[in-house]
Amino acid sequence: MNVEVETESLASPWSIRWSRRRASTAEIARRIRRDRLAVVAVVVLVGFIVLAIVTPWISDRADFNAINTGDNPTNQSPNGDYLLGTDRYGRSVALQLIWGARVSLFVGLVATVLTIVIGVLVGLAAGFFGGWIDGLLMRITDWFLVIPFLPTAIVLASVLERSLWTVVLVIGITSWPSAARLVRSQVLSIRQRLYVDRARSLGAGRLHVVGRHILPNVTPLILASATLAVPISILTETTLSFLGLGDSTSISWGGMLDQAQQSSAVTAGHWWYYLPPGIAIMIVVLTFTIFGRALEEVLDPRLRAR
Amino acid sequence: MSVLELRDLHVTYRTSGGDVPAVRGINLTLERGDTVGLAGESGCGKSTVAAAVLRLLPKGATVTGEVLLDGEDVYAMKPGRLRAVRWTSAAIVFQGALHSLNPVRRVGQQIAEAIQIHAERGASAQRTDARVGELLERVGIPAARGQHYPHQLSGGQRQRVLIALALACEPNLLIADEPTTALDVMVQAQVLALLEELQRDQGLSLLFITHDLSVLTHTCKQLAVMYAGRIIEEGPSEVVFASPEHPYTRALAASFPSIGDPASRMNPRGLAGDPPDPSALPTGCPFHVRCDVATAECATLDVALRDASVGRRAACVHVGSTRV
Amino acid sequence: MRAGFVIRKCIGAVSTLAFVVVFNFFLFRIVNRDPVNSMFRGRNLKPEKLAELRQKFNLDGSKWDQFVAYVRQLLHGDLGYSLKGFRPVATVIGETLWPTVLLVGSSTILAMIGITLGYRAGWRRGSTFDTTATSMSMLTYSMPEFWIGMVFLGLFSAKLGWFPVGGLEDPGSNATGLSQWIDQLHHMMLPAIVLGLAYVGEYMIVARSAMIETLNEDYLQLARAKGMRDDEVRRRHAVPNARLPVVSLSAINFGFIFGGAIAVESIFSWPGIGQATYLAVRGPDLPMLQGLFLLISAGVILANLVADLLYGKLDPRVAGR
Repeated sequence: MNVEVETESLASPWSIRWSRRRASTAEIARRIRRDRLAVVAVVVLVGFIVLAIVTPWISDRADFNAINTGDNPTNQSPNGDYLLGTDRYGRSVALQLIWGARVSLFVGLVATVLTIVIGVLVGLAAGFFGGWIDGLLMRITDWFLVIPFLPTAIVLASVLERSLWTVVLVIGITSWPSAARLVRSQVLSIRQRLYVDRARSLGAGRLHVVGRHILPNVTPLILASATLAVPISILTETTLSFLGLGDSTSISWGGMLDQAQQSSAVTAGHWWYYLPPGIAIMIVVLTFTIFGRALEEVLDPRLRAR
Repeated sequence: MSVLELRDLHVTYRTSGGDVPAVRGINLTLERGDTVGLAGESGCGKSTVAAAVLRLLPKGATVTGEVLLDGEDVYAMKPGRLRAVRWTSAAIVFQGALHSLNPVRRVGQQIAEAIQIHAERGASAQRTDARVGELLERVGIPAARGQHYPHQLSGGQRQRVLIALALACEPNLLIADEPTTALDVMVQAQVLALLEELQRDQGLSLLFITHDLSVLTHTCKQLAVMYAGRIIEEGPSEVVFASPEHPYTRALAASFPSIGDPASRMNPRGLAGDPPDPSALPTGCPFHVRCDVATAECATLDVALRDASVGRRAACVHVGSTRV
Repeated sequence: MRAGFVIRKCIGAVSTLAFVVVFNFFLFRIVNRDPVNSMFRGRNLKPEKLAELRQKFNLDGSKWDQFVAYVRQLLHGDLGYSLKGFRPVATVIGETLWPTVLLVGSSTILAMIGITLGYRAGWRRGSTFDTTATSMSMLTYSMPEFWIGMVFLGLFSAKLGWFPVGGLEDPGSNATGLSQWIDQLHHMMLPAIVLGLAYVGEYMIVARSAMIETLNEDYLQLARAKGMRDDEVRRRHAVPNARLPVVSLSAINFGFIFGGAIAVESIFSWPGIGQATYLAVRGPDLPMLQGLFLLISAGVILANLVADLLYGKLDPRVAGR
């Protein structure tokens, strides 16, 4: 069939896609705005992120390398000079708290990105190629799923060099299986849809099908699960730091709790040392979870019906 | 006293988008031994009517009017009375889809459960099992199949199990809600034959709900056609099917080509447009948008059922006049 | 349940265990190439002693030989030697296993209260009970379990003195029999509550969504039509179906609770596997860590197997009947 199309009156396919994407993003934002709790969560989250970013301008990192020279008061409860008191080395707990935000958020986000990237690659490959590739990848995924998460993380972290990147790596390696599974089942259900076959019959190559049809449909789900995966990464990093497996040169909330434990802050009643980091973790994890759930509800068409 | 009487039944669902009227004033009476078919497309409200009889509507549904089962208003019953009446006065034969039955329980057990709920003094296990076997055999399933799980049965077998289940407490009224829809034609015929046989043998009243008009002409004596929550035509089923009064019924009947009639095979006539959205009904007669004989007043006049001839009524401006 | 199903699952579990053994061995071998050297650095040892030790640590021969020797040792119950005092790992595990079983067992039972809460919350979705339960679950889920431990310890032990500050028994106590039991129970209460609290949210949320999924099913309407009472419909028809995802979760959660026990035991000085792991990490006591990892993995694999078999029993569609 030869039909002449007036190309002048049509917008280019690129701009059509772009405006459609903008429209759907706006729609998503609108839906989320309706959920007041989610909005509060996002605001708090952004607040933390901003705080983490501007920290270097507020305080000097070098302050924390100084060992107590006798000038700084140690183990002081909150007072006028130190908003949250001091630790056993005389360092301000409040400042440690905001410095800790950087590490926790950084690790949380980067580790999640790693998890998602590995998970998506594996899930896409398994779901798309099927056959023995699928079988093999799923076997590997199942193996990784059964191996207990934290002990594995601990072992890996003990065995490798202690640094932030190790922690990121460890979390990524142990968390990707569930993302892979999710992506795979989504890819499988999309593959079954007729329009993919029709695209193939039109002569579309495999990459085209993946890029244009499968990926856009999988992305919303990935986004939602990524947001829900961040809290898990943060909690894992916290636990690893608490066990002394994190980077000892950096300050993290988990590290602070470790220090608190080592200095018997709990039994000594130095609540200002161990309470604030935990509360901070709780808030960040909670807000991410609330936001992630709201996103999930908006993006996942299956949940929308309810 | 009639087995079932619906008096000016209205059902409205409360949704996030507002109130949706699913049933807008239904009047229906079934006497003992009557067989009535309720036909219509999806969304016309017929399944709502079925659920309404036993008060099975979801929480957000408002019901006005009366539903009288053996003279008692179902909606005035106390919870205890309602539970006692369910299944014993009237039972529903649901569509035999895979999840109409609990997938993790054996089918025999699910039938036995119905018996045990209503047994006066706790029937013995033996007696219950015997009865379950009896019921299964009655619908043409070997009693041993009672030990199977729903996923191990075919669609037709599941449907029969649901029929057996419905008969478990010897109700006076069977409401069949799309019992043959998911089945292929041969199995459909078998299930229909079974229903007819049971109805005759036990003198049951039958309310048969479906979108398949052709099925009703054989199984039911009377026929009522629903559209947009209302009955728009009623009368003896064969007559209604052969010479419909209402344009919608005409279109519905014509959609089913008669097997063996070459003319209708070559010329299937469907109906343009979609069934009306209950939350946004057209003004006047709800059908006028798709009607090929609509007049100007159809857009403003909401017609009630008019007498067309003896025992026949239809809700159309053209009815009762000399125009065919 | 068909025998084929059971066999398949068992083979799967064994193969995963095998994978773990291989993974375990090579991981530690790569890092800790010469444990003898690192243990006895700087000390002069007679050559025979050295050779004997090397043999004990499977350092002779190729990697494959070492691996075979390692597996042979494993099958004899020899898990190597801890760097701390040169005690056999297996002995240390033997001493610390029971307290952990006790703790993880009771915490899991406490956490499973979440399941019933979840069913109820899902059944009455949107009710006050539901929103309260869900918010509480999200709250506890967001807290690191060891932090909950620290807070509880600080409040209930250090400040209020209701519970002991740690350990299995009162130090220096020579109570026996019932009074010993009660003492141990008293010491266990706080860590068990903490660990249970940390995971109750997870159970609750999964049970709730499982229940919500079943709410839409047709067979519930059928059960109601039969004249069943609402709570019976929930118990006899909804729950048996909602149970299925919960069983799957329990297996996964078992692994998490074990992980949580590591930190909680260290906070409460509870002399179990968790604390042993914590100390091994801090050491670092790599042979100990290697043995512990194997044990914990085996435990989790076993739990998964049990859960799989249980699932097969509960859901006839899966076991190929």
